Formats: sequence, C-alpha cells, structure tokens
Amino acid sequence: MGLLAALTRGLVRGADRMAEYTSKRGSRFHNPGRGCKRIGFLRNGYKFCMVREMVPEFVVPDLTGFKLKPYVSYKAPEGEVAALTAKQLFMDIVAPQIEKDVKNGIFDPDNLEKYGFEPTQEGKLFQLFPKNYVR
Amino acid sequence: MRLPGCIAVVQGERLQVPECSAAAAPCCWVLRTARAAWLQVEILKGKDAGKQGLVTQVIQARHWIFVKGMNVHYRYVGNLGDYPGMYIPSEAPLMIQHVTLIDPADRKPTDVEWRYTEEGERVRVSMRTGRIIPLPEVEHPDGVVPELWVDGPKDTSEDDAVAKTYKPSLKTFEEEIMELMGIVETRRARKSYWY
Repeated sequence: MGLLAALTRGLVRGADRMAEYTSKRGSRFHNPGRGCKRIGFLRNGYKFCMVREMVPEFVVPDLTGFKLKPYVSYKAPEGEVAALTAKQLFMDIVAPQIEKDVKNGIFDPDNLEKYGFEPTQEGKLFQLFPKNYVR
Repeated sequence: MRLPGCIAVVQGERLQVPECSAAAAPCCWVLRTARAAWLQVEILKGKDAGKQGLVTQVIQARHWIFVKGMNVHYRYVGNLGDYPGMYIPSEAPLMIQHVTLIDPADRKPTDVEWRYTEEGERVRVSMRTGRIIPLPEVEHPDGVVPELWVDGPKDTSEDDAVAKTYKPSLKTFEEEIMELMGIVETRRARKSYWY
C-alpha cells in the first residue's frame, strides 16, 4: 500500500515525463530501436544485408594460468603508476638501440624505420593518427 | 521535517548557517571535521561542559559535531497505538566552537596548531605540551579491516595485484593480440573523411 500510495502521489497530476521512451511505447508500427549499433545496411526493396565485419567479435587469448581475477584483495596497497608518455616509451625502447648503434658507428639518420619510426600512417591497419580503432 | 544536515526552507526564508567566526576559524581547520569521527574531544559549553567524549558524527555544512552520550535530551521513539514508545536519550549537536581537542599526554584540553614535521608531514601539535595529536584512523566504509581480510576465490592476491608485468613495446594492444593469436588481416579500410 505504501508503494502504490507513493507512486500515485507522484503521478496523480499527469504522465511521468522523465520515463525512458522505449519501443514498448507508441503505436505498434513505431520502432525507435534500443540503441544498438548498425550491423549492416538496407539494399533495394528495404531488404537487410548483414556485414560480418560490422558485427563485433570478442578476440580473447587463452587465459589458462592467468593470475589476475575480477576483484582485488583489500590487502593490496594503493599505489600510483606513472602515466605512460611517448617520451617514456622512446627512452625505454628506442633510445638504447640508437645508443648501441651510435657506439658501434652504424647509426644512419636516414634509416630510422629500423627503430620503429613510421613516416606515414597510410597502409596501416591500426592508424595512430587519425585514430581508427575504438580503444 | 528537519533532518540534521539539510538547510530548511521555511516559507521563503532560508535558514542562516552561522559562519565560523574568525576566532573559531583555526579551531575548524584544527578539527578537520570530515575526519573528526571517532576523535576524543572535550566539551566547553552547554550542559555537559567540562566532560570528554568520543565524536560519533560530523555534519560539516553546519559545523556540527555529535559527541556520544553528551548533550542529550530524552524523547519517546516508536509509539504505536496505546504504546507510548521507548524513552531514549538522543544527542543534540554541538558547534565546533564549543569543543576542543584533548592532549593525549595528560588528557586535558589544549589549543592546537598545524605544523610540519622534519619529514614534511603536516600534523597537529598541542600548544601546551608540544605533543603531536594524530589524526584518527579512517574506517573502511564496508567495515572491512584490511589486515584481517581473507581473499575469496574471485580476489586477486596482493602479490599478483602489485606485480609489474608490463613490457613496453611500440606495438598497440590490438597489434600485439593479433600477433599472439596468429590473426592475419591484409584488407584495409576504405578511405573516409570527416570534418
């Protein structure tokens, strides 16, 4: 009784304007959808063609022996991890290689591709700029 | 209905929350009300003046402190039909100005100042004896005591959570996974433009 009284007290003056507008409301021909992304396109005659590449697929490697679990123990201390910057990546990976080559005398400033330099992002599957992957 | 902590609006008027006066302002910062829960304080004014007690609740917006068992008035609670209800003591709030910290060395009220230790830590120092008054331990909202916690089946152990297994590499995460799983993708997306 308490719940109904509270509801009626709240909605006695009219409809609930803040309620979500779903496909259950409106006429039976009105289909606003439920907010899914497109997985295909409509061709002639309003026939739907599904495109396999647009359907999301989870790629999960084998997790046997994986130690991390959904939750973290309360005993683990709070810590800070330094933010990963481009400079940090360079100093960790590329700088030692360049240093070694300079010491051996085979450093070539025109051939920076061997250290991972990419002059353009054209032709790459995952382009860094403009970013063409979701993550 | 006035709940503690809400600013009552009475027919167009707004309840004035008394500002902490300049003399009492150091006192406010000294108590750092958000962490004053479970702190021993001495009451200076009111009917329980001179008594010491434990802070149970703090309402920072109104500069209120509830001290356990102090400044009580009695009322009936849970009346139903003929039953008049249980007669219980309920604490009334005290203002921060009417309460001071206690020096743990001699259990007497003191003035307190914020100072820095040699390590650079900001602590409260009693003016009379110079003893540091530590901040009270902040309790976990779930009531969990980390030292006594036993890991469940879905909990990552402490060592695994803290272990650093990141190997820096110039590949993106997606490229690394593709390499691991042996996925080969030679098709490229059609060029599209956005503005």
